[in-house]
Amino acid sequence: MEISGFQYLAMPGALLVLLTSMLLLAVQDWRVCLALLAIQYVGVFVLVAIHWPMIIALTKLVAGWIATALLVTAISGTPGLAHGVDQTPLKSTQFRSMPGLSISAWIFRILTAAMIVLVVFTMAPLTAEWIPTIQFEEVVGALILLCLGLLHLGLTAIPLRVVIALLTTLSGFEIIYAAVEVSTLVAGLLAVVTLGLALIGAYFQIASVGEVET
Amino acid sequence: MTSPLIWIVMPAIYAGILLVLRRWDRIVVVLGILVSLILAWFAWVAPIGDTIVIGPWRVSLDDTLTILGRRFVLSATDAPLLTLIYLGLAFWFGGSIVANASNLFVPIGLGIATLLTAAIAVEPFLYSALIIELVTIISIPLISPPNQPVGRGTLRYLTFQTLAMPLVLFTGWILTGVEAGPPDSVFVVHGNILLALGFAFMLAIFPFHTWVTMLAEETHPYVGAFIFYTFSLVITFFGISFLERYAWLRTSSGLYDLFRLVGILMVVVAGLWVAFQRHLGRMLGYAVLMETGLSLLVVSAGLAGEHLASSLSILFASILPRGLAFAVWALALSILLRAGNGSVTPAISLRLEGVQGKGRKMPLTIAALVMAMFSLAGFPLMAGFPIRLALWDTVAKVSTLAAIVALLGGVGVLTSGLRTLGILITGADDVPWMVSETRGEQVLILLGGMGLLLVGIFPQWFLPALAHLANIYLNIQP
Repeated sequence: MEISGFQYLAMPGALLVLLTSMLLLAVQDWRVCLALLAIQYVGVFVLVAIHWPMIIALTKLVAGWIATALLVTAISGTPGLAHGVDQTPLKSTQFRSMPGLSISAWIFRILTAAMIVLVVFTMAPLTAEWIPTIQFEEVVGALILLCLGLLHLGLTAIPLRVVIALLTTLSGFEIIYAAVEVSTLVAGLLAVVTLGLALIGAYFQIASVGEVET
Repeated sequence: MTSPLIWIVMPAIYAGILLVLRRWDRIVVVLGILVSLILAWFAWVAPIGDTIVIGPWRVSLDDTLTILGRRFVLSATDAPLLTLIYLGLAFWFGGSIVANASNLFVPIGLGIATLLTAAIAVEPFLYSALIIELVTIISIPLISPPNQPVGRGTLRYLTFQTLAMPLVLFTGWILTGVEAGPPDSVFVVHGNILLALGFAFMLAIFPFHTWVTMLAEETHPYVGAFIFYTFSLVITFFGISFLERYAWLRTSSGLYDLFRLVGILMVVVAGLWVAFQRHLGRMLGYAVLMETGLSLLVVSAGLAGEHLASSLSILFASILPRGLAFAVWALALSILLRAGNGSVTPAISLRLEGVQGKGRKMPLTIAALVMAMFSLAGFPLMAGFPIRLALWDTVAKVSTLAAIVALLGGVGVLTSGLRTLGILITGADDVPWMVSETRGEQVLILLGGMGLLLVGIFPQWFLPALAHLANIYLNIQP
């Protein structure tokens, strides 16, 4: 499989996804969260572009940014007052933020994420050996997204956060899959899945409001 | 003209049109039934791969459509499957008239059928995992209607199905390596683990089964049953495609042992839990899980590929009785939901304490509900009985324990049926018996009940044709 000039940007790309996915776990403000998601897709694009032609790899970036824009539009477009699960009115601020993280929960998340990152760095050389076409930095980036996405999924029941976590996990998979399969149809379908998940996130946001954070 | 254009692209466009017209829900249902029936009929008569002559015109009906370099193939051998899919769809749409399901049911249902047909047609077949994920995404508005809180079951369903897709897709790459490498390659272990995990997520196999019961409790019963049924059907086809494509997988005895173990576990857990549930929707959810377990048991009797074809025949023959029982069960629950105890949410309305004594006002509904439960339990004269008999016989030849477990699972559903019957007809003595279902409900419920009896008494009229569907998978034939 052909490797493009993006291989020299692999390390910055991996660091970018590491930083954004860790912050996504800890940050509560939805604006920052979605900004981080948008930045994360830049890292994903860089790592995918190592193996995929630039034009096809761009679908990741474009789909990711459109997905983020969809979520931003849905949240910012929701009315100031909404009804909670028990039909009680919720204040605008409560509706728009993702509340519930205490200091101890915040520390717990960061520590857990740090431990997972350590495990990823331990596992990465073995995985890179197992998939011959892949670079170490790609494996690190992909596994970080996969593992932190899964951690995020395990820690939340808020619909919007679930969708962000799923998008993160999916991005991790896409980096690995890009190294083993180049197909325009797959790229197209994965972009549709990304947009579909974002649409569902927007739908969840409009249809109802979140639940309790673990 | 190509067959994927007729059975994938055109219904997809039509689903979009119905979505726009959804305000006129009755018209949309009728149009949906009409289109499904036309597609089913055309699949039955159309000479796929040949030329159609209509008066002075001659139209060649090719079986392949190429999109972005990949092929979607619906050949003449897929015609019975297409007939089954669209006939089944018309059947489910028919029930939705009185089930009072969301006005999105028909457009999204048609969209789901279209995507599932695409999942069957796409080559390489591994890309079906992506299409199944798209089915999950478009089914969300149906499961979690607007203006209602998003349930945890919905989130879990979305999460598990989304996690399944990468696992299955990546397995495809690993399996290619397995074929090229030595049989004891490390790829075999990795491939098997990822594949098992992927299908466990997709089919809600223990311990990833929780979303089924949660969803069955939260969502409209008719919508829930439709999703469970169609999903299990297509994922079964997808799983069989794996067995057909990879001979080493098909002939691996460890795989069948795994199927048996997981099947036993699922039937035991579901059979036990269904008997003690206090919510009619959750009972349906556990019945779905038990059916998945039974499907695994029957495939496990394939004995490393030697008798796989006969096992698959039983699996395919069970499509009709299973679908009929789920539809009647869900229809009865929908009628109970409509006549609920003041609450419109299924989570509250379908609790046993909420429906106590309802049998005196809705005897036809309750009779159909109990018949559907008995059918899934494999009670004699019901639609499920001939299939259960074949299943017990086939499974017992390989493992007596598995056959006993399959029997006990049925006892669990039977117990829950008797318990439901008892609670639903128990009420104050002065409450008179009366039929309070609407005319439409009476007609459909009676048709459903009669269908369950008819298939049970005359299985030879219906089941052999379905059993022959296994012939589609030519590589599996002995």
